[in-house]
Amino acid sequence: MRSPNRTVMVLTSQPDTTADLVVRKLNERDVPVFRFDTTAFPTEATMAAQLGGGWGGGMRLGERELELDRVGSAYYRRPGEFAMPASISPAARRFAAAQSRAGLLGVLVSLDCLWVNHPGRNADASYKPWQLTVAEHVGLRPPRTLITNDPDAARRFAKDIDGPVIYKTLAGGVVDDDGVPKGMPTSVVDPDGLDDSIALCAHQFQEWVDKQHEVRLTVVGDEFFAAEIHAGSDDAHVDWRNDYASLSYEIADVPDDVRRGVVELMRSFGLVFGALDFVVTPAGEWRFLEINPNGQWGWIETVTGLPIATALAELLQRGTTT
Amino acid sequence: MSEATIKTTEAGPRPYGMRFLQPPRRAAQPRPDGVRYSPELQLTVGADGNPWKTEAMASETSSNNDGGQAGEDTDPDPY
Repeated sequence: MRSPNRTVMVLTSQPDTTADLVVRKLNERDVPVFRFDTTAFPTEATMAAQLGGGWGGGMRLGERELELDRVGSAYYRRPGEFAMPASISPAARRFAAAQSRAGLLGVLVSLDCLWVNHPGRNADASYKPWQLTVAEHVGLRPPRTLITNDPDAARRFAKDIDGPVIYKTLAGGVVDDDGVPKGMPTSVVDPDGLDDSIALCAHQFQEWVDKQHEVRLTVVGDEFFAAEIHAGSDDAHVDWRNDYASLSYEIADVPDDVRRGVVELMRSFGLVFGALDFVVTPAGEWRFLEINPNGQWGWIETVTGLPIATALAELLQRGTTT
Repeated sequence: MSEATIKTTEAGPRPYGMRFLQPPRRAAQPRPDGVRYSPELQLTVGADGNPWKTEAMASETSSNNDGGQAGEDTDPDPY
């Protein structure tokens, strides 16, 4: 049992309103919070950590200090890139950014505390092919999937599926040539459009799974918060992100076999938080689509009332999943 | 691979998947739940009473609208 009132470290950007929800719950519980963005290092934040039975020392940001050995848990949300002083050369900035990343994060991720989630585990679980492998192994029934840069393989897959096929990205963060970050929703594939540009990178194709509705399942420790997402338009039926205005939500129960599979999947990746997406077929079968190890949940709490922020605050305050 | 069968732009050929790029949702439509968190919720005051910086509090840039079959909106992750 950890001593009470150890500090919760929150790593995220300043305008992260979802993290605000958790910080407010922690404040209500009088739990010390040290929130900072990696963007502040090294220009605004300083760290001095010395090895000796773990890392001792601390961080300072403005008027605030963090004793490293007082950290009971860490909430890794959406911290920004390290920002280097503009006054130094590009080469110096690159060097400084790499050293800062390895030094600061290297110390923080090795602290003896609960991470929600440890960024290394997040990174592992972000590989969608790996997710699908584990999901299949634990019985969560992902769609038939092809990952390829072979146009012929893509065309054969589309033919063999004998039904609609969708394309979905393997990684996010797409920035177009105009420098603008853009989205890429799931899209139904035109088999005649499967051309040789498939050869230019890895692509993910899946069978279309007919759906009654989708479920966004948010897992916090051993607590499950499931919300049905019902599409109200054709666009939203393909990908609910296409038309939020048409969506309606209902709180859902999670079938026991799905719950067992999700627990196993989370354990396999070492995750204590996850936002999972499922299709629920007209026959009521849950089919795994993906897990977002650092997924958004604020809007689900807003539209359903599911107490996700409270669960996160409790977990962070406890500092252990047991 | 035949160059003729790859769609090209001024910047050169683009992978098949890039044909599905869409403008940022945040610019295209409001937050999915229509929620605008109150200034109170933007106050990220630690238990020691020191407020977090205030200049970001009015921002509505947090993306609460990810998910779905196509994957997460991925912010740069320094890790």
